[in-house]
Amino acid sequence: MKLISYKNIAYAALGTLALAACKPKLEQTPISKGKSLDFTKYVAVGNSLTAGFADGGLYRDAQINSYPNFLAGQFKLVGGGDFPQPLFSEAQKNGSGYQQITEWNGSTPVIKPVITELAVTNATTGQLARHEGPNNNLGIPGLRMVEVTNASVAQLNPYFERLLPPLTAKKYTDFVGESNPTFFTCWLGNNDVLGYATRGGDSTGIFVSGQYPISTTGIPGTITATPLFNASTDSLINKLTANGAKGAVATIPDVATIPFVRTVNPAVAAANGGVFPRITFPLASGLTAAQANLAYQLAGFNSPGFTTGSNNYAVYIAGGTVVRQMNPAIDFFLLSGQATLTNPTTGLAAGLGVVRPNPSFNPANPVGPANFPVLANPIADNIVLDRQEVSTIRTATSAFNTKLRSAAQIKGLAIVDADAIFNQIIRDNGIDGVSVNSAFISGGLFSLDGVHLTPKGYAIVANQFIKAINTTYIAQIPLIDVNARNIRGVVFP
Amino acid sequence: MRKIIFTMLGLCTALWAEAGGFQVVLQGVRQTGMGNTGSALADVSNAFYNPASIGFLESGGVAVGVNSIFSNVEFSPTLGSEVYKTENPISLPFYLHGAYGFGKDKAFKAGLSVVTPYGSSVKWEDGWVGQTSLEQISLRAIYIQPTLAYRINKQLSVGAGFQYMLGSVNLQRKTALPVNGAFADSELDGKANGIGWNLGVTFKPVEQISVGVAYRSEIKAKVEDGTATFSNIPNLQGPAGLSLAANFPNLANGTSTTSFTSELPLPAVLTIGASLQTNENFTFNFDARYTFWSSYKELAFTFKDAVAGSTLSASPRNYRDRIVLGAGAEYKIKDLSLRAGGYFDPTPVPDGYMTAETPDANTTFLSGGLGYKIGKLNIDASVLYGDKAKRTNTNVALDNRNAPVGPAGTYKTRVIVGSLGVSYSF
Repeated sequence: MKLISYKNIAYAALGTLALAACKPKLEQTPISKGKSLDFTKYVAVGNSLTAGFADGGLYRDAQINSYPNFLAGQFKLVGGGDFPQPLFSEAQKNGSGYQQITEWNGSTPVIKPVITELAVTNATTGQLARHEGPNNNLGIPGLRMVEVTNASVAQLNPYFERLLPPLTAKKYTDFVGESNPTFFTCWLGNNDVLGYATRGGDSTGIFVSGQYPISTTGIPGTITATPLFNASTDSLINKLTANGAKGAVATIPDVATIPFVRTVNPAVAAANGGVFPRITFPLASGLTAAQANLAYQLAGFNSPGFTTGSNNYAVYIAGGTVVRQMNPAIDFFLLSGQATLTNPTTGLAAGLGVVRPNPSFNPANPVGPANFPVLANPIADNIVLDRQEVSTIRTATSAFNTKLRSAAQIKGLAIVDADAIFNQIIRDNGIDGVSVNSAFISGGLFSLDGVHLTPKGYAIVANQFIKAINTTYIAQIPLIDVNARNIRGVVFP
Repeated sequence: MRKIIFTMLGLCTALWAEAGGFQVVLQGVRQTGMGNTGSALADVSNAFYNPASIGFLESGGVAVGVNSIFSNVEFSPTLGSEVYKTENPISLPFYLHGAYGFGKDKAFKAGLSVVTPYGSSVKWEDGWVGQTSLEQISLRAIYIQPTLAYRINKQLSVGAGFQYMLGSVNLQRKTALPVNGAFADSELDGKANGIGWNLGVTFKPVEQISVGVAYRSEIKAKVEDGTATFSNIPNLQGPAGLSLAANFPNLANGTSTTSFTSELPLPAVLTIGASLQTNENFTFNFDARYTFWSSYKELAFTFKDAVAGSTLSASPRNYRDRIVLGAGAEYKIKDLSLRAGGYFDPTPVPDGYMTAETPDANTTFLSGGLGYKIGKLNIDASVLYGDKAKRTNTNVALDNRNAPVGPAGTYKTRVIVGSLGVSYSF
């Protein structure tokens, strides 16, 4: 009996030996969180980009594809903890609602809002279903740096409101401080210029004397004054590092390069055989340049300076009563104005940007300023981001980025220079072997709102964070293999 | 039923490359036991290694053998921390040799061999990181070789063989579609054939020494009418759908098919072998095998209809000629033979060209074997163990569509081959 069992053991041992001999022992590519990092509680601080906002809304699938969630997945490989997010429930998975391509009209995508399975609890205020339970993704869509020390924002911003107990007034700095992270990422400040950019620098409705375009009091829709931005940044970074947490801070990319700004001019040119249209005076109707100029002056604008022969096509309002001929290389039609501009009866094809017929003109009695054959027809300020506005934005962005870098540097934090990185991606049509470009819809980087990113774009951002963290903290956190996972861009029907 | 038959065929002929590249040097259990040396010996199994050697057989004989290959490949990607493995298909390459002596003193030998000198069978675990390079491949080549050898005198024998190769290739991988993060399944399947020859001289200056030189020609394995199938292609509308239809020919119900041609070189080999019998019981062998791998420049498929904008899918290989050096010995105690040997097999695969189907590296092989003689019957067994050096594929080469030829990362392979053969001399 004993003999048999010895024999069995011997056979088993031999068998094991044979199998073991055949098993290669490959160690995984070395990974490490480095000596100084602790990913037990990773907290993401930021705005819509951090929340995962995409396609003009915040919805469950987009939240799952947020760059902090991608990051947390990689942190987990080096011992990081769980990363609970304030996900909308499956039943309300479409969250705030978002844009999607529902069908094609020829080669033009038909983009429509998703309006079912929403988490909107109050359509008027935009209030959203409350999130209860642990939450490490503290990204608040719409949040500006200037607002982080303003407790009333908690109730005004529905994305913030839903993360708090009812009727809580709380400063964002306190909110993130209480989360007590061991590691954090911070990508905030984009909205301190974005609101100004997406309204084309139009001051309508927000004009307060001396507070436009740069506001020292943080009026929404303006650009935050640099001293105010700096103070808020210090408050936030100090709070985040108060307990010794390490982290990474990202700079603000140039708003003037996103598809929201760069899509319509090429589209207008493409519709005109690849050349941005120009206008020749006298018009087919016989209207002369001088008459067109006069129409603008009669309407209270300056003369747009039309001359006989070829002129730039469109005239837009540069602010107040100032109009200017558009230079499509440096003045940009915004995506928000595409429908207006391409409308066949009232858009560019029907005289928008030049003149339109005066409906009350009486040829029998062509006398007096009100009785001129044509009316000025300038393009509204809020759908054009012009050269001066771009310059204002870039100056502010540069100042904010200087502050973000220095605030991070003082605390020894990793710096993700998103401004430089996005310029690089757009210049090289990709990064790290992942191909994307900044084209609207087809580029793979930007979602259907032309401002926020696709899952592929967010995965690329996560890799940039990892690279900065690895360098600063001498860690070996593996990158996400975006190509192998074939992470999606815009969803096509 | 059809499926079962296919499976059985698969079992019988699926191979796994145990030598460099996709070469399989397992055409005689006795030779394998001696570190794949002994090509100059008068052994019916040498008809493939050196057809002249069978000229020194006293009369004729037959030999059959089967090898079972257990191989494991592991891969750790440069980007990432996982370790991916191949599933463990056991493949059973076989050989069959027969020779018949005739003429005066039976100086002429007519022989026939059926062998499997090239092949590869790899299946990676589902969802592995390199799935767009390869999910699985099965490459088979069976050579049928009639041989004629003539022993000119006691010192010299010459031999030649004609080779007809029939084979098949089946390659499956995922194709990452540029829309919606979708993957399509791609499968290339074809039958191949080709012809070649071998030629050898074996010289015995004295009874105790044999020296042989043999050359085996390259065979171009041609696939004339393969089938390329792309399935699971999402049904999309508008320009996205048009783009898919433009990239995948004959697209209907999510499946696209076209035919393809291809040509894979099965390289030429020059074998030089020397055997020295120091006394009645001891034989030493030294063999050198030079494989003309440099003819394997690329793996190209030419589609009948353009796939993803081109009728050509060409992945560079740029293999390099390599020489394998081996030594082995046989010791006889009455009817029992003990064998041992080893060889070093430098990889023909240059840096940056490691692929998921051939993640090759320099390999050291060691073997041991036993033989037992019962009258005219010999029973042989051997075990061969190969340990491929851990190797990292960095700066991965790109194919004609700018896709990397394989995933970047580190590979490690081990292989163990058990072989059993029977031979009978008459």
